[in-house]
Amino acid sequence: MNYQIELLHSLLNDFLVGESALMTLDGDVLAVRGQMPVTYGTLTTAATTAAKYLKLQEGDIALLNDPYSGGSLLSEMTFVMAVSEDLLWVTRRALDTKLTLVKSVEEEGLRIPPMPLRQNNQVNEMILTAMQAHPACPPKFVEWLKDQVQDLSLRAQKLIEAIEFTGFTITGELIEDYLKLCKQAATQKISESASGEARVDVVLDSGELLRLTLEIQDGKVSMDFSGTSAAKTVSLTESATYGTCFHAISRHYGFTDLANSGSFAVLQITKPTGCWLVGKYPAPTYKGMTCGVAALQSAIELALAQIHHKQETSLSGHCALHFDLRSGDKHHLLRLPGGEAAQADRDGSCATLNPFSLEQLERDFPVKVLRVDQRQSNGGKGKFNGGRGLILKLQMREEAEATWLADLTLHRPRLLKNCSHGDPCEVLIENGEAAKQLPVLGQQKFAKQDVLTLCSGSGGGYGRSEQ
Amino acid sequence: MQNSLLLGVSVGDSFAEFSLLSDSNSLAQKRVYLSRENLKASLTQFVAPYKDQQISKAFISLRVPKKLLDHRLSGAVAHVSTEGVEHWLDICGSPEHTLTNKDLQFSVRERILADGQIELPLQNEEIEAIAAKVQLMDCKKVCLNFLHSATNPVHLEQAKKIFQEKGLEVFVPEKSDNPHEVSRWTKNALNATLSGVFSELKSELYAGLESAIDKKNIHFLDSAGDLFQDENQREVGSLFASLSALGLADPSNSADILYLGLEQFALISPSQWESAWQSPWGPVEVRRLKTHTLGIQPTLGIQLNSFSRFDFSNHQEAWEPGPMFLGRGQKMSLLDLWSDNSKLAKIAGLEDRVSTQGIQRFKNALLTLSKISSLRDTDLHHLTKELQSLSVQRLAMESRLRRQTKKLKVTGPLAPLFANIFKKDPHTTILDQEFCESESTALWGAQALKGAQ
Repeated sequence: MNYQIELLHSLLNDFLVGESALMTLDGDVLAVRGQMPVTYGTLTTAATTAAKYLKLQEGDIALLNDPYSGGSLLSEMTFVMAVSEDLLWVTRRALDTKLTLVKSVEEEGLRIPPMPLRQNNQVNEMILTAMQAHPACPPKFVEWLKDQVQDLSLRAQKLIEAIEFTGFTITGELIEDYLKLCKQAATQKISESASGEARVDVVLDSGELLRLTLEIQDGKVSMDFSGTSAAKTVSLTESATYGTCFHAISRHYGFTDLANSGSFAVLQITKPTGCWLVGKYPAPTYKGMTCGVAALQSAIELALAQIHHKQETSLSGHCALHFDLRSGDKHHLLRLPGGEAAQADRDGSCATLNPFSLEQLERDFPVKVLRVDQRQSNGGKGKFNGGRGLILKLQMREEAEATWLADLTLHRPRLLKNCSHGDPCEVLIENGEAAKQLPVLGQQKFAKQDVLTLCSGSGGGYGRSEQ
Repeated sequence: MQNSLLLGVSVGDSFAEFSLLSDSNSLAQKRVYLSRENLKASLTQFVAPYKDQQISKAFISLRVPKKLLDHRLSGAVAHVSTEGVEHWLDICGSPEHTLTNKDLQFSVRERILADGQIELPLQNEEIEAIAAKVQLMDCKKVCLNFLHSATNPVHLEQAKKIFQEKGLEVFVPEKSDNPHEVSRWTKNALNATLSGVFSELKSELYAGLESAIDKKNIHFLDSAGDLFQDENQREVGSLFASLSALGLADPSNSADILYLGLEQFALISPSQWESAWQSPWGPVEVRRLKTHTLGIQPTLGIQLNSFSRFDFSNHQEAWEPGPMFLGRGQKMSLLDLWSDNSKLAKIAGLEDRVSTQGIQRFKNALLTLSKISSLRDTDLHHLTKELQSLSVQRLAMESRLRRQTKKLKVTGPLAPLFANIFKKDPHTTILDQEFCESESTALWGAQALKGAQ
């Protein structure tokens, strides 16, 4: 059949659910799929690291969450499984995420470097016992891991069965052809748009500078971060930086579904050693994986808008507002995403939420939801308006505590002349007096009757308003 | 003594099929293409020869076309919610899909706390004012979603009574154990949106069966496999009724079902249940058998992919105007690849509709596209075979990846075209059941009724 490449492509799409990747033991990445930008760099690093140190045999599974070994947030567990003699499957599954503002990754939770979770068809009980004994081990973690091992094994078995059943053979030649086609397609998509160079500076409130020189030439993208400062409190791992850059570029040009070694070849990144985009252990990573990623996305979006005048866009509210509410031993992490930027021909989309239950929130915590809506924005107006962010207004019915983290780029980057900024993230408190704005990140106790207003950012507007 | 007959009816987006069973053996079957044939008339005609024999029960799975879940196509519904959360459902769905018009969203000052305590009592005047506005806007249906109304329904009942007194049709969330208001409220809103079309279709079915069976013996099936008759608010719950019937009618429950229907290809796992449907409007509370909609679908478009090679798009062309081989469609779809296959022309509902001109137009379109494809395969026969093979292999691969049990049963009107690849699998059985949707509806309906009695 001439259409083996299409069959391979659809097999990868069907098999890779959630944040996952499939690669060969030789290091060729066949495909990466996922919603999170960092996935596009971290998963392959995780697989490479695990394969290098653990020598995985068919059926073996390695576990890690260490951001410096290819993990992302510590609450997200990365599993690397050898599904056959020459194929590695990497997948990431999330546990309950807590927001902690600390000075070291070790304080963020249990950090797991690549560990052999399953070897010779046996779960490694010794490692499970050791992890369970750690004070930061999440509750019921071992049971959860055992369930995951069972599920991974079943899925891997189904993959092998599906391939065998249809008589499909994934040869080295087929992989080579597929990667070559993906590279060609990515190059072509980039070549179809304008080429050029742009420089963007984004300053984070925490003091870091992000300097990006983006060059697009002959269907290739080159990103040079020379001039980017060292980390103060925000730090991103090298693989997360790569993933975010690739995701932003591939989304812009429309080849995210072709993410693999072939299309990775169109992107070249230069980073000075010691800058905050090449974070080093033991720097904490939560801020980097959230606000740092958002700052990087903003810089790339701005640089692309400068080069592609015909497809100018304003700036989206990339950074979600993270608000971790705690009462007793319960906590609930609320993530309010921002609105999308307006483009030269349309309004930006308004933010939407991953649904959660307001009623359950009120049952579990001493809060009353006063309002949840898309926020009325003052910023982001123009011929086309930026998408509205979200607003959640809560009244405390008893004392409760919260930790929050919002956009760290309140020092807004310079935009193109046709574009305007949307409203930034805000956390406001009213306690009998006038409303007071809280800092972009913090942790504090709130008293009974305090009213908190949480607003995620809105997207930037495009063009002059006709009024 | 003559055995009594069972009638199974399955109504979908574009096709309806009828099966008359005697002791679970098929006596007569028919499929109608709803774009060309009238549902009521076809049903009347189908049951007419059996008027003198006794059709004891009729069981119906009724799926309202999914495009009608869009309120812009189904008629206006006013949404009334607790003040502050009136746009909650909009935020939980995708930005392109809204549950109602912004002008028809109202909020009322009322508040019940999580423990059921009334913090802010509901004022009748406020509801009356909203009712007046709703009537002015010529809207007849109101959907009520109040916070913590499942814990304390007093405000919900109060508002419902007033709206009903004003002659409005009122929809309130179903009482259930589900603690998640988003899926309860979205279900309520979609039920309200669909109610008009659903009632019309029900009336049409009742009218079609009027001469053959008493209304009290006509039962509708929902996605949970339960029967209902005149009860309201079962509209969304009926969307997956025929697929659930396919899974439930098999008493052994031991094999997954690969259903290859004219409108959809789906993999049903009779041993597993799902409690929600992840709809474009957000999660919807619908209890149904675990069902996976496959990537390969009968009316999937054919296009060139990023590599300038032939592939299938992610978009399904509708049966109205339908594939090109039926003569009216303008876009190539997967089933067109089988247009020369005599088995396709023999499928009930499609027979006598195949157009030679349509087939020729498809071939011309395929040839034109092949000239700009990177492979430039201009041998039509070869190209068609290759694409057929690609679709069948994709189907086999995905069903292998997604199945929950080792055993598989393949059924449906398109099984003769797509199921050959499964013959080599010792764990797969290919069933010769072209009318399995309506048959299963009848068989499971009868079992469910017996169980209820």
